[in-house]
Amino acid sequence: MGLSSVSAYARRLKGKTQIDTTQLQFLNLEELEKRYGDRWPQVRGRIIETCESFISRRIRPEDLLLRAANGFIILPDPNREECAEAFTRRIKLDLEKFFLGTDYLKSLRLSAETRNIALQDLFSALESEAFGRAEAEHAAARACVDPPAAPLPDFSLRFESIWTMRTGHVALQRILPFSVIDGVGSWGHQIPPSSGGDAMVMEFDRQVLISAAAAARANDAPSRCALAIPVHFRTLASVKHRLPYMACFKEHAHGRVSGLMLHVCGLPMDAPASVITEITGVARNMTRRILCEADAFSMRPDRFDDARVDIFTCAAPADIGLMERREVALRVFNARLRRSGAMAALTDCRSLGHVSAGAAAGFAHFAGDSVDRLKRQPEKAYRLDPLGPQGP
Amino acid sequence: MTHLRPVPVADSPTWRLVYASTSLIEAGPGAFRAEIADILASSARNNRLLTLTGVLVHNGSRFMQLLEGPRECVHFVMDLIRADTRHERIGVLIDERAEVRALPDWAMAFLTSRDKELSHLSPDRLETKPSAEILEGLVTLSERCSEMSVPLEPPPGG
Ligand SMILES: Cc1cc2nc3c(=O)[nH]c(=O)nc-3n(C[C@H](O)[C@H](O)[C@H](O)COP(=O)(O)O)c2cc1C
Repeated sequence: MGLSSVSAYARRLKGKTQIDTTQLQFLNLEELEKRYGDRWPQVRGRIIETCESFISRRIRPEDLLLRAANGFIILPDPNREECAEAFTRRIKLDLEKFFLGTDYLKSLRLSAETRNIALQDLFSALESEAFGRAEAEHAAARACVDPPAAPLPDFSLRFESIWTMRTGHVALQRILPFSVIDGVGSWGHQIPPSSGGDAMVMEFDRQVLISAAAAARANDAPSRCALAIPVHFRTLASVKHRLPYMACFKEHAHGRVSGLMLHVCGLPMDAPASVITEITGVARNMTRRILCEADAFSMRPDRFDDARVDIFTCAAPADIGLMERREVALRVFNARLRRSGAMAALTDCRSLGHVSAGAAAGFAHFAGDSVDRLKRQPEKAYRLDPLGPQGP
Repeated sequence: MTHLRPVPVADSPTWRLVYASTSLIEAGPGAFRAEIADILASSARNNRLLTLTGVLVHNGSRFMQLLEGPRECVHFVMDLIRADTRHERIGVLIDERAEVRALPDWAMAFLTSRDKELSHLSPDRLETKPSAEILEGLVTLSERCSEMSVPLEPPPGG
């Protein structure tokens, strides 16, 4: 095993927050040492080499086998499908059979265990107070050398009801951050790439997450609406931005509030399927159910086959005529999503005409000014009939 | 069952390396958090697999890092670190054989240090310091490791 193969393996672990490893430990080497006396160093060397070559024939080239002081550690290919426990059992059994059939290995006893290495410690470090201080000191030191960095826009949260036509209920609200920049109000991630790029987008998402989790906690009741928290796809796309976001989620939201769902925004509809699957996979690691912004007119549903998105949110075009002209295509689109277990919500419904056109095209959920007004607080689940006489 | 530690290079002497450098991490919301997360994640992966231990100290504009472990592993990682564009003016202060590790418990502890605490270790004046004094300063600082750190877990848990 060369250092470069260790490093190459480490690189393949990038983005994984945990991995199950197999530890094989010889239990009675000391006993054998006594038995073999002066011959022990040679016998020991032979035992280790024989076992190493035996194990390496039973693992895949992408797995990494490391020697330890009194055994071996197998780090599986991060993409291995076989479950770690089964792999550990299999390798232990094979080795024990092999020991029985080999003279000088007969009395060797082995223990095998699956162990998980996780980046949990890293997560708590990243959300610690001390890290916040380090960040502030960095900012102060840079202020002497760099031109002032663009600050994060101030924002407040709005809660938008997502109405389910079939049940007539609102049981889900999506969170929309609203900021005022240079006196002009704007929604969502209005961060020009020149002012801090992906890091700033991540920081914005972190702050939104912290506020959203606090709002959800304040409103934590069994009948509350589920909340969809927006996260830009760029925050989840690269490891260095994803890690602080995941650390923040773990600290502020995980296990403290149920009914949170991540809403992946801004994903380019022409992104490769592998990228889509990775990004949505990261989101699903944090919340059991996820939403994803999509463009019903240009989305290729096959690229999302492995993404396991629960609800796609599609903005209605301002021109209702466009929806009516494309009704058949939209119906096919919605039917395709339903077959893969997903549903679509039509957002930005400016008029009841949008809701009717959307219903005709097979959308299941609706949101927008014509459905219900924006709220400043999360709500309890409630009944709503935007199409009825008392509608907004 | 006790915990296994890998033996990345058999019969390699234990080595100690300390360097200081100037941070090039940009200002701006999120930049520091993202870059340090990335460095710590690399350290958690590589240092655990290579059985390296040590501490990375940051004081606003400078880094100082202690790396200890098998000689080949220390130099292998140091080559990666040298090529990293997130810092510059890298000066190696200690590069020597060690009898025992000064900080055996952390794959890479990350500490922030206010100027006052680091002043006696100010990288500009470090070239003239005896290595024992530099090391002692780092060990004293690292007594705060539990505050913020990536503890050493040999690759398969620990
Ligand atoms: C100040 C500083 C300290 C670093 N310390 C380590 C370290 O201890 N271990 C490590 O593997 N990478 C460290 N890195 C990161 C490496 O330079 C490099 O990015 C990384 O090893 C690449 O490995 P990866 O592709 O597996 O992530 C450090 C970088 C900087 C700027």
